[in-house]
Amino acid sequence: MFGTLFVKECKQILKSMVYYIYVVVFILFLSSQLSGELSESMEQPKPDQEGYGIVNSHEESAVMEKTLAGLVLETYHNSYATYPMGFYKAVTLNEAELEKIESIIESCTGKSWDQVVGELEDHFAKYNSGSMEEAIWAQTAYSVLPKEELEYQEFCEAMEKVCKIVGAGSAYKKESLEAGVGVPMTYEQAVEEFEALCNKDRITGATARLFCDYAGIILSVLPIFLGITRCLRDKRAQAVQVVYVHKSSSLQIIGSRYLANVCMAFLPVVFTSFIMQMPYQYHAKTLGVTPDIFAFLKYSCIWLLPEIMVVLAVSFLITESTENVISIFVQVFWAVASVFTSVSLEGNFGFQLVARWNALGDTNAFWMQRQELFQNRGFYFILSFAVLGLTVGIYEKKRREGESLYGKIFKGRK
Amino acid sequence: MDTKIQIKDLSKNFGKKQALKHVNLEIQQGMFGLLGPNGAGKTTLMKVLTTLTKKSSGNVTLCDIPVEQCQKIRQIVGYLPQDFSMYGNMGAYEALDYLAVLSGMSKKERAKKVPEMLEKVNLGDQHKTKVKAMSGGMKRRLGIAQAIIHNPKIIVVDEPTAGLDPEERVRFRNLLCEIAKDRIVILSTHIVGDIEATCENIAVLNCGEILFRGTVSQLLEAVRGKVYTLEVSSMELPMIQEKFLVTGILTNGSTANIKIISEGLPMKNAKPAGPDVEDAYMYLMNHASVSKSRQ
Repeated sequence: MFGTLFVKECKQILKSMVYYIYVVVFILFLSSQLSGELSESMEQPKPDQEGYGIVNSHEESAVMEKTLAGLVLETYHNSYATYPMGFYKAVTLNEAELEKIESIIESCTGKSWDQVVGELEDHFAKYNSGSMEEAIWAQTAYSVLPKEELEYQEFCEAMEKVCKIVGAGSAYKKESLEAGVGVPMTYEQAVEEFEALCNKDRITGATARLFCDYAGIILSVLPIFLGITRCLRDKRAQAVQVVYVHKSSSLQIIGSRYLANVCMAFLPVVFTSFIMQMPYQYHAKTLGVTPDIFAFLKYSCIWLLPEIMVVLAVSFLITESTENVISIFVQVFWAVASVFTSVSLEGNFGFQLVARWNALGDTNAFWMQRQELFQNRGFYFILSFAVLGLTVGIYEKKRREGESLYGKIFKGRK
Repeated sequence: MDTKIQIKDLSKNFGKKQALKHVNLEIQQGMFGLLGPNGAGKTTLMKVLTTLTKKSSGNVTLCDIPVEQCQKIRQIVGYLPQDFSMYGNMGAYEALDYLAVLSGMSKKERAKKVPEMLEKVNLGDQHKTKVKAMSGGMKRRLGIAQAIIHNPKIIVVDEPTAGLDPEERVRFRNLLCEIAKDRIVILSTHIVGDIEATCENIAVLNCGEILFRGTVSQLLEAVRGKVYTLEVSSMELPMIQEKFLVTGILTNGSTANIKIISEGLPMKNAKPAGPDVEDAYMYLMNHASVSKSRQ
């Protein structure tokens, strides 16, 4: 019975307009993010190259230099980027606050503020401010040396003071410092990275990660609509009671609906990833590397499937409980918060719904954090089953009592 | 397993409101009519029998199975709700097949029964018609097909003829009588004509209480000798309506032929008339409201 119900649900999804909107939005989003530029950063590094990109560093000296550079730049412009609730907010300080920050910089560098500003202006004067590329290089290359006797602990305490002045969600909070800083890569590091890219990722692994990074953002939202559509379908069709009185158990009904939605939501992911991996397979072969042809499928299953599962499960739970579309607001908030509260765009997976790895490569760094990603996805995989179990319970309760949780609350308020 | 429903001291409360008050009923094989005004508790009783709502107290067994055993009850009950519908984009065959799957029927059984049921309810030629394109009557027929496809021992139909045209209504009643041959069919309605045409055993429900249970003849007996017809002028009509229970008015210019219920001869020109179920029902309801107002 479960299998037949599952097939029937899949057919119903294929007849739904919402599903086609889901597919179109998913493909449009990915093609807008992933087109073109991918293969440029996947070439063998040459010794005389102008730059080799950025590498994340956790070295205390690098963290101090780059953080101080950021602080000097933001103080110079009196505009501090903060993300207090996950959303960007530019903070402007008053004279007194600026003086406090300048004195913190002075105590960290051992130089006067005027001296620091002079060095900053000299550095940026060397680059052509009209070119975007040069401006990025100027910023990448800019660093501020802390004074020799400055201990890392002392530096962290100074940054804490900066946080108090600038406000929540700044780049000087403890978590940001722990996430490391981007420093220019050396030729040797670039060669090492390239070797890891060829041997560990076999090229397609790296592109699959970037695919999952972008797909993960949109998949934190899109499946909500599939879940809501399915759960409200009985109500809209006035078929609630007629479904309730049939023999099938609540687990069979909800389980088949859920599984059908998961499979149908995952189908375009597999299809798109298969199409998108093709050029990278070719690129790998031109580099003499045997590509991992299943990398997209493996990454999609591990990275994106648990996300689709948990988003759909929560959507089912909220919609079955409330019988309205409130799930959209709750889950979009969850998704947005997850995207904007990420400490870094690469790794630091924690329990974030949207796992980010917005880089093509950084293979070694990823392999070091792989375990954390597995834990994160494993958690959501298990959570989705727990939430589904709860949904089945609520459905069974509604089936017996003929009323939604929302209905009871609403009645109670009258 | 006895094909009967036993309801003992059944009560159902929704918060402070008591929708069913100590209901006692025994329903045997055949058509059973449940009559009552809107809000009498008919739908609540139907929902208790079909496991859609929990009883507050009392005992209910269907074919000796306690109503608490939902899974077993769902196997032996077919239900046609008041506002039956299905997913609009499904065709008649597809919708029935889907519901047959929910009833636990195998592929082989469905392949045999689905076309058979569609033929039975006269939807054989329209098996591809989408639910959203169906008329009210077609939807009800599809509804009865889904209620009987798994061959249940008990079928509960809630207000099945509301909104149907006279032809559809007659066809639907006949269909119900046909399927009631070897099972219990409970017909819940406030349309007296439906009960009169199809049921021998009935119960009248009002404000959650059973006012009457028995056969149609017993119900008619209660009002026999109390029904009169007479011709009055239209001017007298309001006064008569205030004094007597008027169950029918046929106006004809300045005069009106009326049907009234009275304990004795109401007026000199009144002629005794044979009662119908509607008269008996009106008498019963009026009697109940008078007793209630006296309390």
